[in-house]
Amino acid sequence: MHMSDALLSPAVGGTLAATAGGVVAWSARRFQQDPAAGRRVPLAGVLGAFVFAGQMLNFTIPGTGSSGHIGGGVLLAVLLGPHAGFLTLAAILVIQCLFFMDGGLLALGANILNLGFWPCFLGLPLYRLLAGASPARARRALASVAAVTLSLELGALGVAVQTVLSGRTDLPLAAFAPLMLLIHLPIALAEGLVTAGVLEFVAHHRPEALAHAGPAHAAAGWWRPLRPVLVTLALAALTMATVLAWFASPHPDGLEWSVARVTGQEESPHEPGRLVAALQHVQERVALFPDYAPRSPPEVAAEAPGAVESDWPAVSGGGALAGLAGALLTGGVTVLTAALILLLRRRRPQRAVA
Amino acid sequence: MSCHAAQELDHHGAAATPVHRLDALAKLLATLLFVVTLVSFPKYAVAPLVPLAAFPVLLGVLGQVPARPLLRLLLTGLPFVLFAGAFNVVADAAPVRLTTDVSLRAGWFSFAAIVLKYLLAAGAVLVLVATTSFPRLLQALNRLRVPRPFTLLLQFLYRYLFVLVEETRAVGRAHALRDPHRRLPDLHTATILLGHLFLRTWERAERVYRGMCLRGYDGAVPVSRPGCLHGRDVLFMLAVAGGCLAARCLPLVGWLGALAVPGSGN
Repeated sequence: MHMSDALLSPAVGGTLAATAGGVVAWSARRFQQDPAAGRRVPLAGVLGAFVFAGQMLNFTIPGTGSSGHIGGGVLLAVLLGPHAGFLTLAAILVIQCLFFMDGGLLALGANILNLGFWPCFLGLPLYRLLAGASPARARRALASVAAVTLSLELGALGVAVQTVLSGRTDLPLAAFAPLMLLIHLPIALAEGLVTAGVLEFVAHHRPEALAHAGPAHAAAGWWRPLRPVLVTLALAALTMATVLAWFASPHPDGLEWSVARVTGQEESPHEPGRLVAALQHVQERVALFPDYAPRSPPEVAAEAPGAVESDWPAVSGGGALAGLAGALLTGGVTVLTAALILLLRRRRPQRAVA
Repeated sequence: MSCHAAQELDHHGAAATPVHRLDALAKLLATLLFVVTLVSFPKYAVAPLVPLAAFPVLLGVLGQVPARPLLRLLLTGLPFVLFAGAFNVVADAAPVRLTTDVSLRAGWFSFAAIVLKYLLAAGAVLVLVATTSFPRLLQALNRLRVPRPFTLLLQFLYRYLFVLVEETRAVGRAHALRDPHRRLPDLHTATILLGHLFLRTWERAERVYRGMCLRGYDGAVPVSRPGCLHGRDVLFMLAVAGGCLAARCLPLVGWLGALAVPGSGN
């Protein structure tokens, strides 16, 4: 589920990075205020290492030709609390990005939100609601599976939406989103059972780990952690609306496209009734941003579906050939410079490696 | 195994080359700017991406980064990018004429752009990691006002990964000595072994942490000298910023191409 930089646009990646940064800062502050924070550091490090190792194990999902891996967010959240759990998962993703090329640098924010936000701030309250104080084995399994399913499905949906919003691939949301959601159902089941198993094991051997992980928060009401969730979602939505709107495609949206395909025109062909016409007149007078642009001299009309995009390079016969030649030349210059540096270094005596 | 490749790149972070001597914060910011520039190119731009390859390639060569582990790690992430981009080839069939006889589907352009962006972005990040030791990188994060608890967890996660690997090797050796005919234990044994591996690693981690606290550890990242920006770091950042801006805004590839293939302007 880790996204690569190649699939994101700067607007989407940047917005999500800023949002993730905000949530990390807030979680860090809450973690520092927790009196039990110091005791949890070794457990956080070790659990993080285990979840890291677990994420490297891909298991194939029969019948789909794809593989999945566990997220581990709910396990971290239950044992460490929402803030330490979120920070640990973010740390795992940072190391995976830097050392293992699992997820891009700009996509870190997106990955942290997709994989860490939902389990720690939505999955955990759901788990606590369903599991209660000290659940029996079956109840714990049910709570784990439910919490993990909710978290993974929301994360998978996030990946699909962010990929389509970025516009770098041609994957249509209508096909991509259901595919992602479906693939992650068996993964969620497996991860839920593994999480329940680990929690059972810890409850049996080191019950004090579960004892100080959450009772204070659990008693305060399972809905409390939802407040920051709602605030974060609202902020992210506001940021996305403003930033992404600048990059919105000039192509007609899904509904207009469907209408155009069906009727051959961009908007409804029916004559508006008197009431509707009056309302439209009022709307035109009042609207600050007709068609989402500030009032300004009329701009070039949106192009019909299927036309060449404005960001398409001026590709004509000779132009494309020049581009290819230029690219080969530039690549060649880079390679030659690198080879020159290597040759010069071989002439000089080797510097000692510290 | 990509684990060995990652470890090799990590060890290389302690080398001494001109690139290693650059300040960690400067390198981190330069890499971020590079990735943002890369990602800002439109969907079908392939040729304009090539000049940007100079950043990871030249830094890698100047930093004497070992090529084989770097390529090994690049390859591990490649299949997912190929899968994501392959749909473009299928879906986007609008023809692009290269010459009077040759034309390609537009999907190939966007697919190539995705693959090239991945290779360059991932290469830049790997070169950053290989030319900057992890503690220095974390200290650079702290200087960027990344919260201390987060870099603290990063330090310990990094440290305990090695503890986990050592304990796993010990458990694996013990199992191999007791049951030499099986390479891997059966499911029941494996579950028990994993559980006890977790407990042992946890206990050892707590001993490590207690030892550090008793010796005065206060959460600060241990580095031999604090990083600060020198003139050469500022020059480096300016050079990278200038290069990225030039590559993004000027049609460098078009100019060179027009020189090479005369009379082939737009």
